[in-house]
Amino acid sequence: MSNDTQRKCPEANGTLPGCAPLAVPYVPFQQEGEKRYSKTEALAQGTLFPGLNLPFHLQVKGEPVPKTPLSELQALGFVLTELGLYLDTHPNDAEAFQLFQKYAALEKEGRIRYEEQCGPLQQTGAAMDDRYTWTGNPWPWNFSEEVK
Amino acid sequence: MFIYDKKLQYPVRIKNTNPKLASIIISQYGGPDGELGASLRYLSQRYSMPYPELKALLTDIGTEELGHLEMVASIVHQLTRKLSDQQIQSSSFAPYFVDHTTGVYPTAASGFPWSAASMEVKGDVIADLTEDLAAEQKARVTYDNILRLSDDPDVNDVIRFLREREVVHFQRFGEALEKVRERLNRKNVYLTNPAFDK
Repeated sequence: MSNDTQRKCPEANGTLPGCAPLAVPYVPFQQEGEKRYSKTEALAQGTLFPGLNLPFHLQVKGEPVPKTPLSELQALGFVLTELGLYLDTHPNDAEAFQLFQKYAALEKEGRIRYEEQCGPLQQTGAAMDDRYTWTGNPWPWNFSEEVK
Repeated sequence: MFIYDKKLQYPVRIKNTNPKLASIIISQYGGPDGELGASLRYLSQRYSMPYPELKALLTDIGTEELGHLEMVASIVHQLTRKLSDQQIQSSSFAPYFVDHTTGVYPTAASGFPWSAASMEVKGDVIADLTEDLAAEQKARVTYDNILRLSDDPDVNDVIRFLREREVVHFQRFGEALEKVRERLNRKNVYLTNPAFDK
């Protein structure tokens, strides 16, 4: 079932076995080729897939994620995380894997751009600089305006 | 092994301090359905998972949960920066403050410190994945309840993101159960425990 590339159900619905053994839990399997958000929208929504976006009725709308080098990188990384989980259970979805490859390349470039501007993302990255920059502020949990 | 990436998964930018709200949100750091238990549950369950694609899933979701742990800690830290004595005395944050000042400590909002008794590693594939489904639902409800209790848009924006991740993880664990069923005796999936029986 999970490897079946034929769409059987409407968008945002998943497939279930027609007949199934008793006394085990079932969650519909997400179909291949479901609609996807852009990377920025995916980060804002918390999922790449509109069909899985099931918000709570109480939503205080915050300001949109500001466009910064960091949020650009976060959006790229988020799509990779989300596609990675999807591919763990849908390893034969060739289109999703191609997208994973594309985003992995974009994220790699994005990391280089970010590190040039903002310092190393990993400790070993500091070796590329002319002095040891790993310890520099801001650390991720600090509100950026508090540590200038 | 793990390598630290010096960034959050999602931006946390809380403009206004609010110790009362911090004393509620700390539950998703060290409460019964919080991110510490989530990450330890999945990262521990993976050793008795016999199937490679599901070793991957438990590793990947467990790792993402560590990132969520860091986000929840960041919310608590930012909500409690530069507090005045007056802010502490007049809020429900005082009992937490007396023990931890404004450090981030894994405890439930109700005051109970984080306990491994709030999670399980059963060493049985179906039992563990069913626990994981329940865990994601309980975490989702905790985030619903935080949205009921909080009117800070900066906080709620992050909580909304974390809540949606629980929905996606529930979906993936549900699909993991189908992967397990594909590999087991279709007439009776309970005939063996593939994590233990050879």
